[in-house]
Amino acid sequence: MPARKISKLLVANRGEIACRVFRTAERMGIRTCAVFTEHDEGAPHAEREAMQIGDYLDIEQVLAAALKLQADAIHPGYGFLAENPAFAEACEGEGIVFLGPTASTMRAIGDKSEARKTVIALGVPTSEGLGPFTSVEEIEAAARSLGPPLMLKAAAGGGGKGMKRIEHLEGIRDLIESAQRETNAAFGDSRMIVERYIHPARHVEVQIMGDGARCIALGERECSLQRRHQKIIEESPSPAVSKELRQRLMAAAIKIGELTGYRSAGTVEFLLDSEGGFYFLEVNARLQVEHPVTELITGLDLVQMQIEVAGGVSLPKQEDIRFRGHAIEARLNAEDPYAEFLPSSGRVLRLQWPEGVDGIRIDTGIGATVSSRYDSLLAKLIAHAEDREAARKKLVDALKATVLLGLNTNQGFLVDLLESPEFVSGRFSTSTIDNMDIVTPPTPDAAIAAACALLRGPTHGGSFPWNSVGSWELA
Amino acid sequence: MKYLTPEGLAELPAFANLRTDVDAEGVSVCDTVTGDVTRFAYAFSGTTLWLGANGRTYKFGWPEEGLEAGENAARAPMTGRVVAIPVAVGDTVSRGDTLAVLEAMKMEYRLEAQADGTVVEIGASVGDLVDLGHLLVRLS
Repeated sequence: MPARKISKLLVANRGEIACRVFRTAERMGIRTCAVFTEHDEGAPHAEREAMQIGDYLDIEQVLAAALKLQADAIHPGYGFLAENPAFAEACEGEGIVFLGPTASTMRAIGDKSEARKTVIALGVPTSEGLGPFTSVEEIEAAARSLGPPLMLKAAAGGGGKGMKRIEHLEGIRDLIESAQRETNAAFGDSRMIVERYIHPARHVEVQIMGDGARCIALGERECSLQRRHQKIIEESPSPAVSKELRQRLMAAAIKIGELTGYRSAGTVEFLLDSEGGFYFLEVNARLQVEHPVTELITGLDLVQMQIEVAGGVSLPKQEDIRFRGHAIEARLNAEDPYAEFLPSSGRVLRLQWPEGVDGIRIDTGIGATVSSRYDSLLAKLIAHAEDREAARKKLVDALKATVLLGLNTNQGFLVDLLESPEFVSGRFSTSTIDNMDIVTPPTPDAAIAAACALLRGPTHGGSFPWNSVGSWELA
Repeated sequence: MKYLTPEGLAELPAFANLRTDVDAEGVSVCDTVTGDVTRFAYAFSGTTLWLGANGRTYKFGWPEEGLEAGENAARAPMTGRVVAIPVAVGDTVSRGDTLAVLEAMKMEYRLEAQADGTVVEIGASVGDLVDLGHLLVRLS
């Protein structure tokens, strides 16, 4: 599709990422429009020209909305239709610019099994693996032939959906079936690949940006701190990556991107082993959740670059890319870290962000209620400072100044994680959180005293049983 | 969630050194010995009181029926959809066996038996949307 200047952009997504894309578009003077479902009525991303649809995954409905709203471009955000080649094709078929890689690139590298073949051919190391397979029997046979420990992954996947670690062969069928249900629900595709599990490992990824021929690399992101295979703290640069390793990782990522004619923003994920070796994991053919840390240290706006690349503006030169300081992102999630990170839902009763703090960026799109229907990410707090320790302290202060009441969140756990000896020292791996003994912190006397003070007086509208009970008043 | 009952509250220390000051925006708790002041934001919803200070959230509530300690049952730990209940009434199960699988936010959560037992009650069917605390499987 020829280069096109965009005049009206639809974001086929919700929450913080939709709001974040709108912010850049509006700054660039591009008109914006949105889609929303019945569960997102009145949500911040829909506070503009918008149309209701039944499901963010419904290609026909999203396209019909785009045509009705006269959008000439669609940004897919992440998740939902972001890596769906049929959607990218359908957009271009209607003459709408799809802000992401082409459908053929997505097929070649967005699909983990295809990506593996491409990368092996380039001579970039990958971990041993088999697949893709669709039947439970084939997947089980592959797992038995490689032997545990293994990782079971969705061929079409991302975001931890459908990903399971196999420690032993006992009960493997249940795990396979569960993984396939998850991947089917998330991507409408149940193909799985089986990979040897590298341990201990760090998860490091390289941000790339391509124009369909040339690619540049915008440094790496350290994403090892994960729970349930989903990242919760990311930073750039990685404390585990030397200058020399960075050059090698970026060169490999550029090679992979250029071979596939990569257009727009993408991420090449690697695992680092404890001996300094690295292995290609997968390409995420989309703008990722954690892209802000890259933006803060490069001073670039990746959404703006996506829009510019689509409009035929040439990419900056690799040698003009500069890295400044250190950035750390914390994902504030609707989940209970003290109950195996189970997602929570509820009404947002109070919400207060730290205001006017230099070097703190907050990407959010929280509505009045948080439903269990969508991803648990509520907001991202990102700190930027001259060095890692200063950024860490700034992020801790920002989290401490944030108030979010009405549902369980991981806010306190994020503070604990950022203050843990593992994070402070920079020595951690993808299993650090799994190996932590996470216990509910004790409730301090001051909190109990505050609760008692509130429950004593007629200052609240709550229907507490205490009101009718009588003689329990404290001194 | 910390459960405050009238009996439980009566047994708490009186916090002689803590002075509280409530206003519309929050509660200030001053430790008169150390001089430390903690400022809590608060919000009520039904029978739950939420407090927040220094990045931490505290939840106070009234113990609900059926959530008493020691119950040998699987209850929905969040609002979600029932994906599987691989047991039937009369089955004997061992600690660690899967009693139910729930899906929320596109992720599956496996609920395991906390102790050995016999299934005496199934409280939901596959496909049901259940609320937090909903009984899924009760063991003897």
